[in-house]
Amino acid sequence: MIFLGIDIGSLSCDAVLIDEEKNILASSVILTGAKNIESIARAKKNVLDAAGIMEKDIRSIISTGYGRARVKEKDAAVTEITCHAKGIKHVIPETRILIDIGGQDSKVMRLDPDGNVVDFAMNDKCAAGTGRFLEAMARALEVDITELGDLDKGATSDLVLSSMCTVFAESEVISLIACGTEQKEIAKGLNRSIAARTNSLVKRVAKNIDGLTVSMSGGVARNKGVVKAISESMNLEKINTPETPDIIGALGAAIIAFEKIHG
Amino acid sequence: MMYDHFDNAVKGITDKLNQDPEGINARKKYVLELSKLGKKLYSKDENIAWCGVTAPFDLLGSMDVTSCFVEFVGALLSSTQTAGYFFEEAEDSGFATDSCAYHRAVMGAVLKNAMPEPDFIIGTSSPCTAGLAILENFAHQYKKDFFLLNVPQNYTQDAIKYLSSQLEEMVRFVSDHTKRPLSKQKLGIALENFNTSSTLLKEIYDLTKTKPSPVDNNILKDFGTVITLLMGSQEGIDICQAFKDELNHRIKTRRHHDSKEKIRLMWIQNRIQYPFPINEMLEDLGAVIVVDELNDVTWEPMDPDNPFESIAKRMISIPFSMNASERIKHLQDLACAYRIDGAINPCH
Amino acid sequence: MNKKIGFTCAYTPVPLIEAAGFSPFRIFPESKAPDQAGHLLHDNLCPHVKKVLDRALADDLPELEGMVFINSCDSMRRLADAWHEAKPDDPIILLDLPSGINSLSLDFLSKEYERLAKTLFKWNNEPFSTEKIKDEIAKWNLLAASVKKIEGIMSRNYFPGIASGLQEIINTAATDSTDKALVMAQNKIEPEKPAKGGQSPVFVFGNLLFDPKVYDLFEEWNMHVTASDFCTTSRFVTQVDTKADDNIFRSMAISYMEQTPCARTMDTTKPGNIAQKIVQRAKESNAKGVIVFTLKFCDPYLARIPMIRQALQKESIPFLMLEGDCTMGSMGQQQTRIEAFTEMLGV
Ligand SMILES: Nc1ncnc2c1ncn2[C@@H]1O[C@H](COP(=O)(O)OP(=O)(O)O)[C@@H](O)[C@H]1O
Ligand code: SF4
Ligand code: SF4
Ligand SMILES: [Mg+2]
Repeated sequence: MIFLGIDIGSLSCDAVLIDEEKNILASSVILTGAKNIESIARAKKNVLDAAGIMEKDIRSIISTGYGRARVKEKDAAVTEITCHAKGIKHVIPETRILIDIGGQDSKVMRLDPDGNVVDFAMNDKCAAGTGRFLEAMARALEVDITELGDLDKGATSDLVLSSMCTVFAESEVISLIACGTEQKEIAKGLNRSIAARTNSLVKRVAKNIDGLTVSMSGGVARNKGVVKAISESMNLEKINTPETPDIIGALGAAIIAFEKIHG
Repeated sequence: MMYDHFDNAVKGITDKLNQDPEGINARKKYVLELSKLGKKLYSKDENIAWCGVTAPFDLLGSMDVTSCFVEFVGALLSSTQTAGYFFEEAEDSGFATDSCAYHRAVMGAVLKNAMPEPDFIIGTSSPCTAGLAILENFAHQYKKDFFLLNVPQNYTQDAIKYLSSQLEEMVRFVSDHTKRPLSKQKLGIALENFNTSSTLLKEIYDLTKTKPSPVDNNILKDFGTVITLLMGSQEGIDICQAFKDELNHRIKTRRHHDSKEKIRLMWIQNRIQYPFPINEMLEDLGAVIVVDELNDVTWEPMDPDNPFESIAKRMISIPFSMNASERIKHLQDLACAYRIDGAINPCH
Repeated sequence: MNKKIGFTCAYTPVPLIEAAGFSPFRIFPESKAPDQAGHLLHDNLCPHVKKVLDRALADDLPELEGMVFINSCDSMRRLADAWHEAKPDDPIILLDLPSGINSLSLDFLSKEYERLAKTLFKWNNEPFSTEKIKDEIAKWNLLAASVKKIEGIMSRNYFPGIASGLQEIINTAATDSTDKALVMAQNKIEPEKPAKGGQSPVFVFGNLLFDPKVYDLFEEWNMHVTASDFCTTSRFVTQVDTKADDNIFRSMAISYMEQTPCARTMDTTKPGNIAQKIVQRAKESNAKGVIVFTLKFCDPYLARIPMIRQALQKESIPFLMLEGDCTMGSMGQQQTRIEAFTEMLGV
């Protein structure tokens, strides 16, 4: 039996297929774009093709992400908060604090040893500190988003961006560039300000994180600079990131599909 | 840490004053008294009450209770730039980021157990709901007894009677805690002191009305609200006298007549506490804050034979306890009396 | 049709309005009226007060014979101030509401309620009559008792639709008449649909939440509302204990002060008691979790959230804090949070 999880996020539409042993058979990450129905179909086709499986072999489908209601063939929709928790439990089981920063929101979950969510906090009021914000900053710095994560290497100043509103931060970055501030210092400043925001979200679910394993999922977990700044601001040696952080939500959805059948 | 802050302030200012025994130095003397108060509040061997802004500090003082409003701590944290740390604590536990910054700082300090421990708490429903809510948190967190003074908004006979009865109850509450009854004689002295201070205050404010005004943007900053902490005592009288002398001296020496007072301003509500060079900015523009909304005497003299009623009337008569039209009328009166050109209203 | 008296706060005793021959009209902060309150008031006021003022400024109100204001919090005081500007010809009465409960404040509030009663009778040129007041209170108490019964059913079992039905009854009492609400209530005591399982039992509280459709959404999002505490639900329908005192106004003062546990009123003998009350109500209603809906800039509530959070934590009751403007419109943004919360609680 095969199980499918689909995560329709604000930026990426991710799909994961798993088998009876919860092995990942295939995964896909594509842009959600304006027409999410089409992206859902495409993501599904991608994983089916990659695994060489027919649609009829899928036993159950769980959708998640902010577009979860748009997946017509779903058996149920589950929020990304529950799905990310499930997904991380599978790949980094010792996780107790999970940070998911996606395209337009950031979430922090506190998990019990069984991987159940016991508390969460979510920030979706504005783009501040999210993936979309980082993309705007990458544009201002004239680098690709994939390069942004290494841009802060060797930064020495303690610059912190004062504005977190995308519009203001963009002009702040531009004026810093104009003043001749080095790119790496600006990148570090950006990461620090995101870290501060994330840290305050973490504090809402856990006043004290001593001894708790912290992991991060969502596309922004690919940004090494941000991950490092967050671990620094939390005084942590390290924050765990899965190999493919952007599919954790879809993976969790697939596992929930499996568990719904197998109890 | 705060105790040391005040202790150092007391030592530093005392040294400076000793170096200049002839000088008037009103503001220094005032800050010295407040630092002494701060020291007492942060020491353990006094009867301490943390209060709402409109609490009767003269009455409490006459019962040997060292008392202060919590917003004082908010201002202190802000001016020493330590508020940020407490803001975070308050915000992390769900207190809104856009609430009043004084209260957010105090709330953070309460949650972090960083407030000096009181013997009891006296809340006032005026001037604002948030202030009372913070005091409730304080009492809850520190497990302290609470007394509430409801300050009605409508100035009516019923309202005055209601508040004066509450004041009598407050006296019983305080006596229960301090194990000392109210001494009519001490209260009488405190009210006389308060009246003397009030008269001096009026004289001070009359001097500031002169054109050009003898004040600079700093000298009477946050004076009206904070001086109420001291007015029932001899120290309060001395401070008021020093300010009066200082202003008279400035007028006599024409120190400020040469100044470039181009614009006369009124400051509505209280001043900005965190380090921010607004006074200097205004000075550069030739703008002088000649009056603060809260620098005014809006009450009749206290009647020592009718202490509770007169304190009640005083508390209700403060313009920010009443409705907006009363407050606006008060602002208009000040605007005329001080012949101002404009006003600044900050949002804390 | 009776002439209407407008009001905004749950501490307004509706029986007094009806006894004077008026109909009550609670002005809910729900309006398509343009955002104009900022012209008269500071922007840092709660959306409740701002929207009510918007309605007045846009004339989005039925004809009112007068307004009853209660100075329950700073925002409400300012609303009363602004009303003078927005509707200079409306008769207005502003009641002083004590912030704490003790014998002196009960005396004072009973005088305020008496003043309100006399004013209302005068506005309608009716002779003052305590008999009429007592009759209206009796009717109001019947309504309160029916509402309690429905709440009892709600907390025991999940009956789809019962929560929104209850809200409709309460809204009728707030904006139309106690008689009509009473008829509706008596028809509702038997639930229309059978009990169901599979929803997470949650206790909800906060300032206001008055749109019945909100409760249907909650059900769609897997919630079984076991009980609620808003000034538009149980806090509004306050049972007046007529035996509490010989003086009817003092009875009212006692009942409203003690039964209506709005965050703005404190029990001075037990600071932080509101947190205990929330825990108690959540437990009594068999809820597994608690959600608070707060309004931006509502100091009376926001400042008490830390205490409430602590108290719930101590009891290991999960807690979710949502901020909005108390209308349907802002609810959509909360879907993920609410669904994640119910997923977390389980059934
Ligand atoms: N290779 C990468 N390097 C750095 N950042 C990345 C990379 N890939 C994705 N991101 C970040 O991840 C964000 C998208 O995260 P994702 O979890 O897919 O969002 P959503 O769930 O909202 O669709 C992007 O806005 C971008 O900032
Ligand atoms: S929340 Fe409280 S004070 Fe505000 S309107 Fe409702 S009952 Fe009145
Ligand atoms: S209690 Fe809160 S919601 Fe109600 S009027 Fe006051 S500030 Fe607004
Ligand atoms: Mg996502």
